[in-house]
This record gives sequence, structure tokens and C-alpha cells, in this order.
Amino acid sequence: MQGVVIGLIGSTLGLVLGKLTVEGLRKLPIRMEGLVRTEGLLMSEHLSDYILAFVAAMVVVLLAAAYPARRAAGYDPVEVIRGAH
Amino acid sequence: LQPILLERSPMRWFISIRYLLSHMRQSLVCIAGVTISVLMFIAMTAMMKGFTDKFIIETVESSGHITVNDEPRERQTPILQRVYDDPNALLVLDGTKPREQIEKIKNPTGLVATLRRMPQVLEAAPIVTGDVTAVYGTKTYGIIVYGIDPDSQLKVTTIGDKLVSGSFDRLKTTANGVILGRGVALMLGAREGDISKASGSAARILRRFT
Repeated sequence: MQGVVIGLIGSTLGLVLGKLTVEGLRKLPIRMEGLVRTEGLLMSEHLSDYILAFVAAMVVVLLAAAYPARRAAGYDPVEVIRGAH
Repeated sequence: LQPILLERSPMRWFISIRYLLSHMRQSLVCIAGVTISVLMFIAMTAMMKGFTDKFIIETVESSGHITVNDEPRERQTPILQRVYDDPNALLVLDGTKPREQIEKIKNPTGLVATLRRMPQVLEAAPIVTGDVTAVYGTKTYGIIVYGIDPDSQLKVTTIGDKLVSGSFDRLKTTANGVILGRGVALMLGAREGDISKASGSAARILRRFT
């Protein structure tokens, strides 16, 4: 559950800040001349990227949270309260 | 906020949120880790896709997706070599002139019509190329000239979007008109409507800038 909470808050914040970062980078006046000539950074966003980022973050967070949660679930609560672990 | 959250949450949520709130610093670090990862993923993906799209437009869309060239033809063996096939023999024939091999497609109009009839082909545009030496005032510059059909060329490439001055339609009404690339125009110091001379094998098609 902690993993889900961390994943949801972190991913949602990441999506919002990611969108803001993309918009900010797009407005940077960086002039490039070479194979590709451009007046700024070229940003191309797709909804699928946002969905993929959210899903990937949730999967990683849940996988990272699963092992300690499984381990904690194996303990006897009485033993834990007695300070055996 | 904390009491409301704790009161309305089921037992599991209650325990997890309480744990997270009691270890605020640790929780914030975890959330920040996920946030930064998602942010970086989105920003980097957007940038990579942006440059990829631009690169594709600049390279693939600026020319036809498929180019049909003339087939390489086997050069005719000189008559002496056909008679004396010994590779070590020194063959000399006085007064011979090398025959100029012009690369061209046989029946190009028919080929273009055939290509246009194919259901997978949206448009086919004929194009010829040649090297010329452009002369404008005291400046000369070796350039490659592409002879095009303006209407069909605009359908197969995005070159029409890159025109900063003049128009493709003027090619149809201007005899020996040419559209210059930015680099060539800067090198020659030429502007729209200027007149230039050209020499070379493809010089007949270059007389006037549009």
C-alpha cells in the first residue's frame, strides 16, 4: 500500500512536472545549425509516452515494494512486538 | 488533513498512510525519486522524438521515398579487345574518340505513368540532374542542378514549405528559371529575379533565377 501511495503521488507529480519541463524546454532559444537547423529544442509529445511513464513507474515502485512487504508479512506480529526481529 | 485521511481510509490504507506520514523525510525522498524518474523519462522521450521527427522530415520527406535510377549498362568492349582477348596484350588504336555515356532512363514518361498507376504509389515525379558552373557577376560557383516538374515535385517532397522567396508556380511561366538553395544564393550574392549565366553539360536549363 505504501508503494501504491508513493507510486501514485510520485508518478502524478512527475507527469505534471514533466509536461511543464517539456513546455519550458520548448521555449528555450537554443539555435542549432548543422544536419538539422532549428531555433530551439525540438520536443514531440504523445499521450502514449505519458501513459507509458506512469505505468512503468507504478510497476517499478510496486516491484520494489513487493519484496520488503512479502518479507514483513512472513513475520509473526507477536514475535515482532516482543522484539525478536 | 491527516485525521480526515486516517478516518476515511480502510485499515490497510490507514496503516500505510500513517507510516508514510510518520516517516515524512523518507517518504518524500521516495516520492522525489519516482517524480524525477517520470519527469526525466517524459522530457528525454519528447526531445528524442522531436529530433527524430525533424530528422525524418529533413531527410526522408525532402526527397522521394523511392528513387528509380537508370540501370547500369555494360560498357561496350573496344573492338580490339574483342579480337585480341589476351589480357597481357598491349592494344593501341590511333584516332579513337571515347563515346560519351549519358545516363538516362529509357521512356521516362511511360515509366512515370506506370508508377502512378500502381495503387501503392501516391505520386511519381520525374527529375534530372546535372553539374553546371553558375556565373553571377564576377563570381562563379559549381552547383548541381535538378530539373523538376513543379506540380508533381511539390506532391512528393516537402520542398515547397522551405521556399523563402518566390514560388514554384513561376517555374512554369519563366523560361529557364531556377530556384537556388540558400547556400548558393549567399555564395553568389544573388536575389530573387536576378539573371545569371551557367555553363556545363546541364547549362541549357539554367539561365534565370526565379
